[in-house]
Amino acid sequence: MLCTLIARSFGPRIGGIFAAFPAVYLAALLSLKLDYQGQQLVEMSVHVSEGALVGMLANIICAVAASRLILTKGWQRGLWQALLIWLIAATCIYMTWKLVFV
Amino acid sequence: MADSSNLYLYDLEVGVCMKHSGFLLDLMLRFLLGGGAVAGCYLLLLILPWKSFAGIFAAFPAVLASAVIMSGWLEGREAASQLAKGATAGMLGCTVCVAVTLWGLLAGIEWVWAIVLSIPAWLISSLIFISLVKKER
Repeated sequence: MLCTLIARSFGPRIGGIFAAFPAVYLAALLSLKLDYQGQQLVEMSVHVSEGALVGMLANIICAVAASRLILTKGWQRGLWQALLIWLIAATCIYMTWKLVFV
Repeated sequence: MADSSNLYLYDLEVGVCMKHSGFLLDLMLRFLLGGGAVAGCYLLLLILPWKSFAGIFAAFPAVLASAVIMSGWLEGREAASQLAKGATAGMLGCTVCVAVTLWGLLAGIEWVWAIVLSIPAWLISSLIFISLVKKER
C-alpha cells in the first residue's frame, strides 16, 4: 500500500522504482519462517534467494521489453508478451547456470 | 445553466469514483498477483526437487504488472511505458537486494538481519541506478 501511495505521489519515473519493490521475494522469505527453523530456514532461504536472483535478472529484461513492447503493441499485449519473455528468460538463465556452474 | 452545472458535478463525481475504484482495483491486483506468486513459490518449493527453481517465482514482477495495468488503463500506453522504463532501475535495485540477502545468508549473518539489510540496499542502489539512467539520456 505504501508503495502504491509513493508511486502515485512522485510520478511515473520515481513510481517505477517503487513499482519494482521486491514485495513478493520478501514475503516468500518471511513465509518460510512459518515452516522452517534454524539451519533449515537458512538453507531454504538460500535456495529461494538463488532462484530469485535468476528471476530478478529476468525482471530487468522484462522491464526493458515491457517499456518497448507497450509503446508498439499497446499496454495489454505488451505486458503479456513482456511477462512471457520474463518466464522464458528466467528458465534459460536458470538452466544455463545449472548446466555451466553446478 | 442548472443543467450544465449538474452535468459538471456528475462528471466530477464519475471522475472521483473512477479514481477511487482505480485505487481499490490497484490494491486488489497487487494483493492477488503478489499473493498468488508467494503461494505458487511455496507450492513449487514443496513439490519440485530443484528448490532454487521455485525461487524464480519469488521474483515474479507482480508489483510491476499491476502498476502497468493501472497506468495503462488510467493514463494510456505512454505513461505505462515510462513506468516500465523507470522500473528497470528498480529491477537492478532488486537484484542488488537479493544479492545482499544471499551474501548475508551465506556469510552467516542472522536470518532476520540479512533481510533487514537488503531493504536499504535496495533503496540506495535503486536511487543510484535511476540517477544513472537519467544521466544517460
